[in-house]
Amino acid sequence: MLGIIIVQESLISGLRLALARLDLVFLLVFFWSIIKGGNAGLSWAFVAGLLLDLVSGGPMGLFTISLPLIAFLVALTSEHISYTNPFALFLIAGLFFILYDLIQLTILNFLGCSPFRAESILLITLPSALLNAVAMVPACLILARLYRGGMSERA
Amino acid sequence: MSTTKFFPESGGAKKPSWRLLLLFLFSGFLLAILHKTGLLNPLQDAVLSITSPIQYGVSLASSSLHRAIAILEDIWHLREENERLKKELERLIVENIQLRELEVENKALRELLNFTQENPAFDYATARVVARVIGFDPSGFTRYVIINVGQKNGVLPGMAVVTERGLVGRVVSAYSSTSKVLLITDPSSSIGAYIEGGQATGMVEGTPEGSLVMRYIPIDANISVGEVVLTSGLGGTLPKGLVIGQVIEIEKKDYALFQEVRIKPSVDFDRLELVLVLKGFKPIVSGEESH
Repeated sequence: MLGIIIVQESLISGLRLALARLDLVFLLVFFWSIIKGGNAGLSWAFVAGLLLDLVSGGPMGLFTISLPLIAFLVALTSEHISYTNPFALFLIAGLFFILYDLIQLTILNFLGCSPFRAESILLITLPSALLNAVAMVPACLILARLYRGGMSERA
Repeated sequence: MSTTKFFPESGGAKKPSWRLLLLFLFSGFLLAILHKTGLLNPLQDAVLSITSPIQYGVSLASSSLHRAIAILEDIWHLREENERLKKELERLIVENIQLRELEVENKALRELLNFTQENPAFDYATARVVARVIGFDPSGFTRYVIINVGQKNGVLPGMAVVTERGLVGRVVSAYSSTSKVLLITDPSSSIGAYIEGGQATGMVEGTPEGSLVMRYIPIDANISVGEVVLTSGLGGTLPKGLVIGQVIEIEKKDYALFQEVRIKPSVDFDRLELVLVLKGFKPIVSGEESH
C-alpha cells in the first residue's frame, strides 16, 4: 500500500493527460471494497487515506475522509450492482470517481485550501473520471489475477 | 464475462458498518483540525523523513520517463521553436548590451545619490538552495510540490522558489528535510505583480486549469500581448522583479473598472525537476498558511 502511495505521489501525480490524473489509490480502494466488502474494505481505505495524507504533505483529513466514504458506498452498492459487465464497471467507476472528487473539493473548500469552482469539475474531474474509469477495467483484471495468485499461494 | 475474471468469489459483499464509517470520518475531521493547529507537524515530519529518500529515488527514475515523453512532444514543435528562438536570441543580445550600459549608469547614480533599496537585495549565487521536486499534489485541485530540502538546509516558510526561467511559488511548510511549495498556478495563490515597461499593476492568481490570470489592472492601462509580467514586491512576501510569465490574452470591458489578462507562466510546471529556494530574501509571513 505504501509503495503504491509513493509511486502515486512521486510519479503518477506529476504526469497529466491534459488535466486528467490517474489515481492508483482510488483504483485499489475501489477494487478492494468490492472484493473484501464490509469493514475490511473500509479499514483498508482508512489506512490508505491516512498514509496518503501523511506522505503527500497536503491538508490532513482530505483522503482520510474521502477514501473511506467511497469505500463504504462501493461496498454498499456491490450487493445490488453487477460488476461482471466491463461497461457497467466503467460507468460505475466513473460515477464514483466524480463523487470522490466532489467530496475532496468540498473538504478543500471547507479547509480554505481551494475555492469550489465549476471549472474545476469541468476541467479536472470529468477528464480524470473518464481516465480512471477506462483504467479500472484492466486494473481490475490485473488485481484479480494478483489476488487469486496470492490466495492460491496461501492455500 | 464471468464474475471470477474481475472479482474472485472469495470475500463477497458483506455490508460495511455505519459505526465504523462514522468513527473513520470523525478521525479524519479530528486530523484536519489537529493539522490546522500544527500539532501533527512532528508526525508528518517523521513520516516524510522516512519516505522522502524513497520519493527521491522514484523521482529520479521518473525523470527519465518525463524526458522520454517530453522528447516525443518536442519533436512536433522543434523547427518552429528553433526559428523563434534564433530571433529571440538576436533581440536579447542587443537588449543585453543596452542593459549593461544602463547598469553601469545606474551604479554610478546610486553611488552619487547614496541610494538605498527598499527591499533587501537577494543574491542568486550565494543565498540559494538547490532542490529536487520529489512529490506532487495527488488531489488535482491544489497545486503544490514537495521538495527535498527543509529546515536543516535553512529553508523557512514564505521563501520564494524559482528556476532560471522564473517564479515557481512559495514555501508554505518547511519540515526538517522536506518542504511544501505552493505553486503560483494554485487557485489560492495571489501575487502582487506589474507589467514590464508600463505602470500597470495587479494581482496574479492561479486558475483551476493551471494557468494564470492577472486581475485588478486599471482599465486605462495600455497593455500588449507578449509583455512580461514580474513580481511587484508589494506586501514584502516576494522579492521584486521575479519573472512570472507573459501576457497572452487581454480581457477588457468598457463598463468595468478593471481589466484582466491571461498569462502564460514562464516556468514549465509539467517538467519541474530542479528548483532554487531563495534564502537571501526574508519574506514577511502574515498569519497561518491555509495548507
